[in-house]
Amino acid sequence: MTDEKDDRDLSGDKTEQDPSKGYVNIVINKYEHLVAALSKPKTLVKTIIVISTIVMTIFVGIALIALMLRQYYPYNSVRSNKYGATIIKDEDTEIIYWLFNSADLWANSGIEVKEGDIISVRTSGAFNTAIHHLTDDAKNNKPQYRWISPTGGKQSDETRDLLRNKYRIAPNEEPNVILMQVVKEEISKHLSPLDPNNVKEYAPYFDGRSRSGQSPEIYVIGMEKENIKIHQDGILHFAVNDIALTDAIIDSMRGHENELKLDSTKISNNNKEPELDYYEKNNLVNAWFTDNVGSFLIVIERKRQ
Amino acid sequence: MPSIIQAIKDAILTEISSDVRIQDRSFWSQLLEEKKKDHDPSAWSMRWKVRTDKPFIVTRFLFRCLYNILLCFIWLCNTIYEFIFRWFSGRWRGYSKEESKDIKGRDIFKRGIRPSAGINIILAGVALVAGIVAIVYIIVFNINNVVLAPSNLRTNTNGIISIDQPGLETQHYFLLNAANFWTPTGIALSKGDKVYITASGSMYGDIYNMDTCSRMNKKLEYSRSIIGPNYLQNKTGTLNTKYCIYGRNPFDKDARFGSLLYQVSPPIPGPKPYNTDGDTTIQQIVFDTNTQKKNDAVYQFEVKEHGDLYFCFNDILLDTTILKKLESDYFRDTSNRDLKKLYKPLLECGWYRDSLKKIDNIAFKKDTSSVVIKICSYKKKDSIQNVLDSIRKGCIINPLNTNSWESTSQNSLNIQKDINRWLWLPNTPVFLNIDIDSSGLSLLDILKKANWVDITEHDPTIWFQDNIGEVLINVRVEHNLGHTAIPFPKKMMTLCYRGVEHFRKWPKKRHLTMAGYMLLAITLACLEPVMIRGIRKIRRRKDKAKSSSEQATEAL
Repeated sequence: MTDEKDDRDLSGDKTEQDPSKGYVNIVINKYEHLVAALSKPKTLVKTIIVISTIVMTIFVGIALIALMLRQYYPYNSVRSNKYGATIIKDEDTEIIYWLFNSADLWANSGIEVKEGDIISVRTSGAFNTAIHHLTDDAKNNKPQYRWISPTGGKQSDETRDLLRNKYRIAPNEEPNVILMQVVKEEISKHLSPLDPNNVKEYAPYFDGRSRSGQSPEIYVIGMEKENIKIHQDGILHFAVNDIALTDAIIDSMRGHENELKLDSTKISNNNKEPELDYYEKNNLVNAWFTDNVGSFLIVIERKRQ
Repeated sequence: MPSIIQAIKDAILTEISSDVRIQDRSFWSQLLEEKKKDHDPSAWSMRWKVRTDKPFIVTRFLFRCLYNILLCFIWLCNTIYEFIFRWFSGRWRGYSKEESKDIKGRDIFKRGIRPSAGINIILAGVALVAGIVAIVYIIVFNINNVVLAPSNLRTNTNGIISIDQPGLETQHYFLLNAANFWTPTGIALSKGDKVYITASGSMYGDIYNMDTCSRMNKKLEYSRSIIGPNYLQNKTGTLNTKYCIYGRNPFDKDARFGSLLYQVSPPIPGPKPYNTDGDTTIQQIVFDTNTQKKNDAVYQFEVKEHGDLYFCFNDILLDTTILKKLESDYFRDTSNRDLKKLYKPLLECGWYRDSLKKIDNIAFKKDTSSVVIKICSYKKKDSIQNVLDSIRKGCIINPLNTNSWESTSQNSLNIQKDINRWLWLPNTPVFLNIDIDSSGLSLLDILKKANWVDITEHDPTIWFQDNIGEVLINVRVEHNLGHTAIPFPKKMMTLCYRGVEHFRKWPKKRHLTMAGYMLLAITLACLEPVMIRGIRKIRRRKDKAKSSSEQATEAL
């Protein structure tokens, strides 16, 4: 193949061929090596591998960037933690909701907070402090014992309840109000009322009384508490303001059984023993919680920093 | 190029009489030229051999496999082109029909397909365009389906809240009351879907016990079922679970009273069937208490069959099978306090109690499976006759002497005669020894047959009604991409995104370990030439020393 356009003489002008003369044809194949390389399948294989690698790298990089963007600027991000709390995030705010049963003493929500966090907590629901009162009321068709809202309040007008207030977790606060505690992670896993060793070792975290170098960080929530500043890293636990029967609380109740209307000759397990002795012997720190009926939906709002 | 042409001009002597023509051939003209050109027959040969003296043998073998696969693909494209060309032109590229030998005298047909630069450049162009399209699609996918993924927030008739998440996942939330039996969620699952569950809340399985203990300020008999990682096994353990929905079958492992159960089964109208014997679709959710992962759900499973998701608490369902089991277990060992505790309330239940008004007493014999009913004859005569007629159809009845528990007659005619005789005597109690096991009927069935039960159908879920509490359940479903009606490129992108998401969720320790290994691998790869050179140097020195010693020996 020749390119007639490039036919020119030494001066660069086009000339007509003189049949009586010969001619020197100089062909410049500057792309010969490139074409030869392209003819080799090996070159193409390498090209395809390079393109694929670039595409995969770009994909991984963009996916990681997208995930980081979602983490720092979340849009429609919803997840849940192992304690069942649901966390919904957007760019500015994080909202967490979790179901709390009033029969649980210092229930673990699994919601982690850091020192300096500012959270607002709101609650909804109601509970009754004693199921047997509820069933009695139902039988008698005579409601005496009220359902308590998150703000707390006395369930009945009995004097006994007023006298018992000073033994509650937050004695100066409304009885039966919802409380929140920030517990350090290493202590959180021990805050189970069913292990007697834990109850003795971490008693202040159960009954709310600081001692032995242990100071629980308890907040009164009620229906709503806004802009709570957290003072230590930890996990949120919840309880209603009732009486946690640690050894210290039981000891302080002794001598006042009559006014507190505690049975000193209670029949339990076919053995006659005083009520307080029964609680102490069986490590029933949550005895007065287990008869509570009802749940609360706890909603926590946290501004992202 | 101008400098080359100038150089040629300068080199040519003006005395030459001939004309000079310079052709500067373009790339395309060179590419499309059909020349009789020799090509390396080893161009298509696959390389499988991997040198074992170099490191990363497996990695290099995998890359070889990839190379060979791509080579096959390119050969295929070139072959197709060759045959199309031959079909239209009637000859091989660059060779006429008459020339069956190439320049070196080899038979061209034996040399195979000649790689075409044109085809190769087309393939390279296609790969480049595909790469650019893929990159653009990746960016669009990440923006639309990851960063700005729509939530499609919705609810269904069962009260479930559903929110879509990136990576074709959906989060569902709903409240489960402990007294409900097999609550339908309306969450449709396909085979291969992965489901992750967390829950909060707690329940107690015996309100009567709760009430009694509360009155007496006694410790609760059973542990509260606190759903979640703090879940504790019921104190009485195996006894209750033997009759529970999950635990009644021999293959049910580690059954716990009050645990959360789930089932994936085709949606059916109305309540779910009661009989769960042999049902392998019911599974128990036991939350992992030892998990170190803070933010991941603690129970997960893969769906085996299409269906809807149902939840329930593990309690005793009083279907006929369980009633019979309870009765026969109790009758076998009436001293068993736990069994008595279970069975006695049953007898005091409404439908039993009403029918028991017609029965003076139920005494229990200490043999395998009999129950003795004492019927006072001063009650309605014809009702006793109905009982006997009905019972006789399915049971063995042995009328007994009042003073002895031994049966007196096995013959049906004798029974009839004896009973008729007894019916004569007012205020004389009749003792009937009813063999329950062989009859295949429970006591309730017998009473039903005798029309002594006021309600025609007892409610098998009656023991769920005393459960108290509710649980908020979170279900995250990672949909199986094979069953979704989305385009293939989006499926591939979603699959890759999920891989990246899972990688990101690894604990930091694992990330650091992996980074460490990669760093080590890269370092070894970089040091490989140095190491090989070092090894060769050492070998050369050894060889040199060996040869010089041999020479010295020869000289001697």
